[in-house]
Amino acid sequence: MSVGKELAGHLHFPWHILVMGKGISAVAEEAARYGASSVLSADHELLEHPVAQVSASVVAQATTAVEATFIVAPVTPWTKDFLPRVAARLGAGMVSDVVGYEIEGNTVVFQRTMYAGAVNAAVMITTAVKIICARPTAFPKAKPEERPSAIVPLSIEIDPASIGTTFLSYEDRPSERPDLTEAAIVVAGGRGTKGREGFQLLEELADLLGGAVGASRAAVDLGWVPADLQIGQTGKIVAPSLYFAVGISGAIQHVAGMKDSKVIVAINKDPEAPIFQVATYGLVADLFAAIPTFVEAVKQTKEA
Amino acid sequence: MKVLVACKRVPDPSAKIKVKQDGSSIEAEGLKFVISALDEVAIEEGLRMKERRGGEVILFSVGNVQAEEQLRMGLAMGADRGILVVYEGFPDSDLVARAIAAIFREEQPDLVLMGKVSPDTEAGQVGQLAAEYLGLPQATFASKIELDADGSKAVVTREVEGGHERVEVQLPAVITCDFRLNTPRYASVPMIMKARAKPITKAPLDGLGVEAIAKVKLRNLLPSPQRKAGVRVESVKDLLRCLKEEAKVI
Amino acid sequence: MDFSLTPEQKMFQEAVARFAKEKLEPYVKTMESTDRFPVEVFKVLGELGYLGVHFPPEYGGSGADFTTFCIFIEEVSKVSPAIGVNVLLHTLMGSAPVFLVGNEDQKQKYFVPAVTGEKVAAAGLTEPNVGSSAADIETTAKKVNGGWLINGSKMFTSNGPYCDFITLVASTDRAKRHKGISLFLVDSRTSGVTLGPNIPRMGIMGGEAGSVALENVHVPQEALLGEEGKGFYYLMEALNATRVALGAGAVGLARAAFERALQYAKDRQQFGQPIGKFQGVSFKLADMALEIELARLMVYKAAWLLERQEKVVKEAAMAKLFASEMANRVAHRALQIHGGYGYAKEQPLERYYRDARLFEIFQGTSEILRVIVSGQLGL
Repeated sequence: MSVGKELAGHLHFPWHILVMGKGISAVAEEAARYGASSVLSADHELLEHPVAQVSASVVAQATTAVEATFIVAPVTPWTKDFLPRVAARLGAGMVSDVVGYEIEGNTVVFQRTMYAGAVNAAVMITTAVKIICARPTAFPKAKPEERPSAIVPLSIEIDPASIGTTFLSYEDRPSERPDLTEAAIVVAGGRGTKGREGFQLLEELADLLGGAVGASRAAVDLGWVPADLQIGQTGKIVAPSLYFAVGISGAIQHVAGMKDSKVIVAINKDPEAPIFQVATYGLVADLFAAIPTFVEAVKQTKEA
Repeated sequence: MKVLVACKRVPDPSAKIKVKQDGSSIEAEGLKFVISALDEVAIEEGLRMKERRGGEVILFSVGNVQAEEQLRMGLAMGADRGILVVYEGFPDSDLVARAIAAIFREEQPDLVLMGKVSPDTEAGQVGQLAAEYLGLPQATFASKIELDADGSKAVVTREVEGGHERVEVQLPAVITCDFRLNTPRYASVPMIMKARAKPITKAPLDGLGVEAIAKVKLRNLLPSPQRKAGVRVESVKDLLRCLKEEAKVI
Repeated sequence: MDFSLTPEQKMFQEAVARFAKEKLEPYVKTMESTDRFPVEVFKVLGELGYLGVHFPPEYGGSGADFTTFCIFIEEVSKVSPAIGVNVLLHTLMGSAPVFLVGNEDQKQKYFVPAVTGEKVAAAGLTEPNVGSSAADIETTAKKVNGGWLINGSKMFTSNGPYCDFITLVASTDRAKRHKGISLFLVDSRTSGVTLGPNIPRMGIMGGEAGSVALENVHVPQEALLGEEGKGFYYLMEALNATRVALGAGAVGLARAAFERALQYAKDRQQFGQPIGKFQGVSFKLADMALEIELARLMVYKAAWLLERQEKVVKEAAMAKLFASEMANRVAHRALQIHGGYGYAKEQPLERYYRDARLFEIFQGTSEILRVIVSGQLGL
């Protein structure tokens, strides 16, 4: 939202928020506090577990309704799934994973990374309608304002029979921990944790610090943790204030997912591990000794 | 069962990527190229489907002529033939998607498979764009694909926020693959020897009726600022002190 | 003269290099510490067709050429010379003789499963008292009712400790010396066969080789491989191919050492600049690059001659002789370039140095190879 708001400000465009789902009046009201020209509310049965074509239809419809030339969304599995369909439908160019932008005259130049974070690309969209998927960790959060926006319901007309995809089920994994992409502290484990034993220690540390638990691709591939904990080029991109890389060697693909963290702590037995090249603080130690000791030390300071 | 699978040529993920002085592209000189790992997962899935139900696995690639090397490697894994849409330069996702749509219209496969994202440009849009252009259903980030008995539908388990989602798609459809889907096979020696006998057709873009217009244009590339190494701490006590007093993050 | 690899060979090389790095490299650390061979590797290689690279498809082979097999050994040895050596000996000394001179029944029983990796072959040649003077073999095979009675012992038999069968060299008529030597196919589970454990050695850790004791081992008539009295000649044939392939293995090992030293010379700074800028280092690297190239050329020329079934005794000996001594020089220089870190176990340089040493000894010592080459000069 902050990106949309700011961009609209620079370009002197009005901006609208689209809220979609089922039973979303509370969310729409919340969105109405952010100073948009209006909040479009798409509330429908089919949007409870929307399939890509349905989400795409709604967004395309909303775009036409307000004659929008820019569509801005955060990068999430949901938007990655359906937004390109909107692009194809509207003949719009789409840039994903935007980390910054500059306005040059009447063109907007977007910045995104490539090659596992090794390269910064400056790109431009040549079409009338432009779709931008922004990386949440690269921008500040929007702040609520005084003036509430009007909430405009968007009527949805979709024929479910025309869509070749049916939602079947969603298996949720409820967690008390903060969302990985939003947590201020992340404790991540890799191959060095050797499985559940190691991860239990990391979970204890995360809970003590009020942080989230993440993992390298190796840990996920080995079945030690669920896939949505994966941090990296093909997983989640995070940028917490404090990132612990425990028993993680530090392959380029993993580092791509966390190198914007403010402080990186690496704990690894192997002094040659590449992770030490990016760590703010590096401790060469056996995690099975170091983590419990660290947990104790933190507990003591908390009591003090 | 006819499966159309992506086989993208990308730099070896462990290679150090350098940007050319003029920022127009990366330095390809001396770089080793491989098939995108997630496309290998897609190829493996296609091969398994062929092994179970018979049919054909057709590989496609949109890029420069050297991409033929990667198509050959894909054929060595067991695919039947390859289609190379020759395009020198950087095709944007939309161009690739339109090329796939054109190939689809000619080949009429039952399924289009590709990696959910490629490790070089990392856009992750091509499959979905192609699905929309073709008016086909899609299922992205697949960690499991279960075809039904007569091959008319597939139940796909998708990796999404906080868990798994299961959807049913009517075939033909576009499915993009996640690493959890399978472990790709190594090419066997007999297959490597036979790979060169399998056909690879080269098709220029305009031959397919695809206009070479880019919707996203690259202005320039710059090397990313790399994070520098910090300090080594000697003990847990030291670490905690640094985090509390120096960095003030605890 | 076309010095280039065919497109198939190039693809093959890329595929093997990748397979070796992803699938075989993880074994190296354990092999170094346990000195045990990961026997399951035979099946993994067999399934992918790597144990039958240059054999015909009718027997489960991949129908490629010997050069391609050498490329396989070169790339595997770059990652693990121990795996390279033991697989090479299983293929060229253990099972190839069965293909070359065995009858159909023997091929089906032993050669085919050796190609799939279901059976591991060992070649029983060297003995406690017989190394270079191969014609003086002391293991005897006496004709008895229903077959042969074998007595003797073998030493440093690669794959010995876990093999399924031994392609054994025995004397059937000591008076005739090398004309009285025959080859036998001995199932390792035959009564009287004792497979000794691995003999701990300086390097090639995990490339297990042990002694084999044969006490009144009764084998059927069908155990004779090829013609009686021709064993020595079959052996010499097999040794030619083995020597060329070992040369390829030495090249692979040398390349591994060289590549590390080259990178180190670029990264390591002393006196304010990369050490590769100093001629003391750059000249070493230049010599290493040169010698690796020369060794490779010799190895692949010998492979080329072998494919054409031309006389290759001299060239095979030259290939192994030069490549093995070169690998030792390269490993020595690579370690030196790394200075103190080269001597430390946390780096692989000391392993390359130890691994290289065996190449100057087994399957024809450098001294014997010089005897062979000089013998071909008409002196």
